[in-house]
Amino acid sequence: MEGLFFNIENGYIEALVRGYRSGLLTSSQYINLTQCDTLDDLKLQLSSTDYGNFMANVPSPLSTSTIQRKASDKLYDEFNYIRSQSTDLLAKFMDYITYGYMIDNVALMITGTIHERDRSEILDRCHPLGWFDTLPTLSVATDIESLYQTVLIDTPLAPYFYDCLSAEDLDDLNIEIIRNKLYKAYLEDFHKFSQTLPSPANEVMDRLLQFEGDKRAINITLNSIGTELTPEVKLEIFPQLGSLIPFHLELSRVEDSETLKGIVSNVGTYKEFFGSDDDKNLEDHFYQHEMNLCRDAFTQQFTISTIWSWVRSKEQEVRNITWIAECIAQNQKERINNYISVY
Amino acid sequence: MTLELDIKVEELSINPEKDLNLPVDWDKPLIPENYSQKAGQGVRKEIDEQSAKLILLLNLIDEYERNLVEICDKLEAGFLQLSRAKFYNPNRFDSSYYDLRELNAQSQIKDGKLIIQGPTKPESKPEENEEEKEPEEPTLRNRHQKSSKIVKKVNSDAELRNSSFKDPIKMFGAILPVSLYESQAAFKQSLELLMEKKRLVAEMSALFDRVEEIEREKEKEKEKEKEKEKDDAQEDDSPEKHNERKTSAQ
Repeated sequence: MEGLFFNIENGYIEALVRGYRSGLLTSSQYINLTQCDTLDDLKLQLSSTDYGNFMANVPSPLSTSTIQRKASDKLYDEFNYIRSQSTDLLAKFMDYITYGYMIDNVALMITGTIHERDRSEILDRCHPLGWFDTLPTLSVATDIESLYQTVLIDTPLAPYFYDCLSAEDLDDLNIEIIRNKLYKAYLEDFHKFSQTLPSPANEVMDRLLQFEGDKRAINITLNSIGTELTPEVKLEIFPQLGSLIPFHLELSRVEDSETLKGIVSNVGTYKEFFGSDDDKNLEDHFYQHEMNLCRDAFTQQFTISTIWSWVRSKEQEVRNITWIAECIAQNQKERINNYISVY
Repeated sequence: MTLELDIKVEELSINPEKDLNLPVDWDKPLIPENYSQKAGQGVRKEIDEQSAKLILLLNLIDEYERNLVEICDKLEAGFLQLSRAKFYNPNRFDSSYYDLRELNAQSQIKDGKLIIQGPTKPESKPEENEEEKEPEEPTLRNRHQKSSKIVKKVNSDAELRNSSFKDPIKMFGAILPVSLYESQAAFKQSLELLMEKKRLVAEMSALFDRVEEIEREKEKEKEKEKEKEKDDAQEDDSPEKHNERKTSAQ
């Protein structure tokens, strides 16, 4: 029944998103990019794709950061265009997508203040999709409670701070903990909202967000080995999503990668991540699996979950292009094929 | 006209490391006198100081080239791993997160040796540091609050922060990808190799100067001998000498 009324409000947007999806780089186009010898060649190859003349006004010599910035700007323009056309449920859905970037911006502003950075310089580097009006005022950061009371209480992130106000000293470690707690609360809230969406959006988003929860739990476990994070803190920042919830306690006590492998292998989907003989590491497998899920999400019609899938696919595409550009710039052609391509 | 050269390979090849047994201190005579090569015939039994020093210089050049290659490899690996870390986390490991506060140097050169510091027990007094910093940044650092679960850890982290060592990689956060640590390790190793390169350059330079000095001394000696021969020849042609020879002949 969802197909009867979906197109009234969201038909145009879904058509737009599917058009953007068809413009994503394919495997053969990636192969052409990997055969470029210079960044100017890369720019020329990209001009024959959906990117067009996105770097027409950029003078030589090119840099990889410029390529990344210009490619990302294209994504942000398209996202903002879709967002400006959205209403009602879709508008709220797209707002939820931006909350993740807002959290990154908050963490960046607080970190920049503590690191005695110039405020205008940090503001330029904030994620455009995570911008909110009171973001510049975060530079007066003293402690998290005053930040919350003066600035963050009026932002959409306010509900996510309920568990973060006990930390009173802002340093690199605490900011990292706050960031992860915020993201955990955001992810759980997003999942809760997505379950109110009509089918099949709720099913697709459930699949994608559950995987996101698992991915974060494993990344936190793996990357916090040998750091000062205690098991209690790790348990507090693991999202309560995904197939690994029964194993969170064990994951919080992991001290080496072999133990992690043993725990995660209990989940059938992730077992093959560790057993493969290729050069891919764990993060590569995660990104590959996520891209497979995003590609499969487009097989469903009359659903707004395609927007999330498109955004994640496009971000992966920008990462791929940046990686290829870095390999060309550093003359490391043997590693140039370590990108993720599913379309 | 053809010129036949009958030179045995063994006569030409010398393995400095194996056969010459070069000592570490190159100021002392390197080659024992009356050295004879095991294989081949017609080889000089003595090697003068200049040749020995040239051989050592060639060894150092070889070592220098290998060192350069290793430095390039390490720097390439460091930058590649950094790019990979950025691939997994875009916009996280760039200059936005640089910490511009004063930090103690993590690597120092003492007595010509590179010392890379690691995590140490906190020795400095946190209270003194807090008193110093309070007038400067009264709003940013507030460590006199009661601790909660998390801040218990924060207090221990504050001690660590006030100690002389702080790993610069932590400016990007506490939960970092493995590739970023690998990048840091590669850059640290290249630092040690750069120190080694500096040492080799200094040794080669001094050795080269010594070789040139020996060359100049040899030329001076040759000139002296020539002059002496000239003088002797002139004396022979003098009238007194001529009369002496005539008298002795008679």
